[in-house]
Amino acid sequence: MTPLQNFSEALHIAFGLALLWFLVFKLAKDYRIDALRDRLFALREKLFDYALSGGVSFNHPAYTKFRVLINSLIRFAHRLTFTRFAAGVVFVTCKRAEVRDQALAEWYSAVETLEPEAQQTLKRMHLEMLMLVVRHLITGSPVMLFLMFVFSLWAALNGIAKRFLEAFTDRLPGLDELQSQALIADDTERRAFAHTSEEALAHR
Amino acid sequence: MAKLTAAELRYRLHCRIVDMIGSVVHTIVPWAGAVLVAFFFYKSVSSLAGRYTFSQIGVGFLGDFRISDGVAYIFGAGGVGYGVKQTQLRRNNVERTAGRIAELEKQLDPARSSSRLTPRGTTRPEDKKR
Repeated sequence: MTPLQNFSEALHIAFGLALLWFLVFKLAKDYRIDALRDRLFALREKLFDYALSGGVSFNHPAYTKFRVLINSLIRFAHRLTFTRFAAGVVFVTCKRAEVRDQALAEWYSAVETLEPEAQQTLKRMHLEMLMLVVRHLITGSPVMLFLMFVFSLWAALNGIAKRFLEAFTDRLPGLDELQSQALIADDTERRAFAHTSEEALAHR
Repeated sequence: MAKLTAAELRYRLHCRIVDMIGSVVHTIVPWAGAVLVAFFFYKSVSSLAGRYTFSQIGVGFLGDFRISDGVAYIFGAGGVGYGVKQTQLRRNNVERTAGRIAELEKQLDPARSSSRLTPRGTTRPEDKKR
């Protein structure tokens, strides 16, 4: 091949890589965020339908706080990444910090006050929500894909291949931290909005 | 709203630090990739420096452009265009129906909380900046 032919090949490859960069870091990223939001919206509708059928009252804290949690995850889905998740786990481990979020703790307590059947249903929906988030984290990170692959091999060997995602979610540390971060981010924004509204009213 | 304790404030600070680490990494990685691609392009062009003119390079590149390459680029561009149009259609649908669904749900659940996305179902600009 002549140098000019080599250059043409290299230009095609560079152009292809540039398009691939756009596909991975823009298009695929936007799609994954939209897909997670869509699935969380579907779960929120399922929760609404369950309350509508009388399984739990619309005014019960177990319903309202769970809905707020799902809303927080929907709103900040663009921030649910493996990097933030790993950084949170490392931070909590190194600092030996307790996961502190009153809202999440209150939800757990509220669920305990429900009838056993309603408790089961809400806990199952909560696990479903966590599985959606874990799936999103896994598909967005080569590291998580590798860990999932290793875990899948182990799960297949142990004969629990069908429920490996549920088991992986169950064993994954730091999910409370992830939920807390979403709730805190949402609460921070609401407080900032409330403070801005008060200032605007005071200036009138 | 309830006042936050010192411990809760410290925890929120740690959440903010974690968020900042994530933001930094997710800014560095894509731009490092872009720099790498630009570097490959630069190296391929610089190998011809002083030996060929731009017009020779341009003619050489166009002359070497195969029909199969063109078809592949058109197919890729077509696929991306299809995806963009479908996304627009979906967002139009969300904008049209989400408000109605919210109103109907509020009749059954007056204290209904919202995810506070934009009317088209996208991330709020102020949430993207942080």
